[in-house]
Amino acid sequence: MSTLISRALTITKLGDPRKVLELQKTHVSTKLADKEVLIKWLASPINPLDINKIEGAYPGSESPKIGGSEAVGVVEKAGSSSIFQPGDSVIPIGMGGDLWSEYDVVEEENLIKIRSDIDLISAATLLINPPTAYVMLKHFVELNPGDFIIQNSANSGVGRAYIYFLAWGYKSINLIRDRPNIDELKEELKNIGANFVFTEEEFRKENRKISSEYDIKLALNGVGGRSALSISAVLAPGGTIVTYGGMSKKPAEIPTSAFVFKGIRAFGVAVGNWMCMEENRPLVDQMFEELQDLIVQGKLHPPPVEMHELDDFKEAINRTLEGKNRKQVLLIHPDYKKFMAKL
Amino acid sequence: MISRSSFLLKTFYIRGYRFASQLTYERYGDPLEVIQLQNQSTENDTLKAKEVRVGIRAAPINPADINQIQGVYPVKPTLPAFGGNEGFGIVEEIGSNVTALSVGDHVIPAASGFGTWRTQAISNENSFYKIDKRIPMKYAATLQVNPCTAYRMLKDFVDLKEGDVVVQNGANSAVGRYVIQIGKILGFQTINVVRKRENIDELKQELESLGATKVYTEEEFLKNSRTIKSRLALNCVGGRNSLGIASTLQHDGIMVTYGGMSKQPVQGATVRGMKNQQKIKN
Repeated sequence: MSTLISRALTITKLGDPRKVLELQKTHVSTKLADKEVLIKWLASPINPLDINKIEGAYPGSESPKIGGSEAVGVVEKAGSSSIFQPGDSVIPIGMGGDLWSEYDVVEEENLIKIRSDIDLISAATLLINPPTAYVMLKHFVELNPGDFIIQNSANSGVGRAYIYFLAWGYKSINLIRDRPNIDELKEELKNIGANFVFTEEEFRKENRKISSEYDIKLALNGVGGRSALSISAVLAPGGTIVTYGGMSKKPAEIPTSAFVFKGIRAFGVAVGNWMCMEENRPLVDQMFEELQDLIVQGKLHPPPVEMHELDDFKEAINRTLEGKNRKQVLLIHPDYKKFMAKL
Repeated sequence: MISRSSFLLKTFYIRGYRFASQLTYERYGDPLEVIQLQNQSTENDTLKAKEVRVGIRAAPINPADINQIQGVYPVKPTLPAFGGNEGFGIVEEIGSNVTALSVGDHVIPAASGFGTWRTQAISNENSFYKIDKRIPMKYAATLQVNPCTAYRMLKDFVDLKEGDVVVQNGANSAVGRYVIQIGKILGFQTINVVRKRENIDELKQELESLGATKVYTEEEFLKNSRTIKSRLALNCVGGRNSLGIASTLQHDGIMVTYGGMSKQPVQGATVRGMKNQQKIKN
């Protein structure tokens, strides 16, 4: 048989994620070129950027398109001169693949092999958030142990990954949106290592005290709008704010005086582009090695998730759109069960 | 908008005694209320070995000077303070061990915050920077702040090549006009955004004659911005305007912020992954 029937969650047109997604049957060829690989995708999270892609609010949004921006899969079959073997665990490099699909044929250069002892959920959420936090900590500011970093959206995938990286010796000031069970969330973040946790409103009262007591060199912005203003306003002279996301859908605001009189620098980061560049590949490989070591040592955990089989995608999308819920993960090929224990 | 004014200062003599005049303020507030004109005898002023006495001839009133006196400028000199941050003077006397300056040299302050609204200034020789005597007084008095800001912004952030596009708002400001002129000399294209006004065509012509590639009102810019591809954006307005000019930046483009006329925070688009950097004036 030279084609497989594969179920795929497809963005039929750009618009309301509740309306435009359809589970469709596609045909995937099993005839592989030398360096192509047939992948069985096992699990993939629904990230905020996936929603934005479906709505058409993200660069590279297109339709019709199979959804998904990161996933873990297993190699089913490999081309004759491929470096991969059946059974290899892989994640995609770059976020443009057809990931919400049971089967997919991929050029081997668009895949990274990962360790077989990484659990399913860590692997499924390895590509985007931990690297974003990693790059923001390593590539923008020279940080020393004891340095303070402030972030908003602290309970997001990136936010939590960053809190785990505090083990490298930094201190964190974390901002989160207020919600009914706020004390529970604060506890949770403190238990994984957060130093200070404030709601956005609480921080507006504390910010003067905080900025006079601590030298804050780096601010990580995943929200934009007034929240970005809050965190950039407390940066020490010469400080840096790095923007990786815009949950508020408003442009990041930074005080003019921070730029003109405190010499603040503001950057944006999008690891997807960085990872796909040939010249960065050695750095990328090294980063994933480091991240996987941390996972295996129990020092880096994925965010809390809720899992849904592919048939149940509508519930997963609804829970995502409600907001303030756990990250929703789609379980794609039924064989995920086989790999649950192993991965 | 404060119109730029300069005033001429002269040391004067009363009954043979040498006097200096100065504009000082002891507290922050309305400049019309808090600025005082003082006259002081300078007869007994002696110079230390490395000091020079400069007769300041002209100094502008910049918007930042007004803000400083009002107490709303982040750089706050100790009070009582002299007003003014830039100006032009002539060296009138030098101390016994002065090496960099001679009597008759034309100078400007070497750093901001000097306090230039006074006819006499005595300071270490390295408080002053010697300039070419051919520079006319008006140019010399307004050399230190705005032209330098424009020059540094064009040079220090992006390696611009001939033909590259620089976008700026507040283009009819002092800095904006220098950006146009220096940009033209260095071979860059400038896209200039200004607020709409009654004699807009006159202003457009004026800026074009200085070398502006294109001048848009804010409304016109919004219609055309999608076609503009820039490498450097210069922002002195903030708010939605800054978002607008930043959106023209290509990959690795930089927006430099040097002022905030709208009093709104700078806005930067999340998605673009662009760099915004700052420039401290002076």
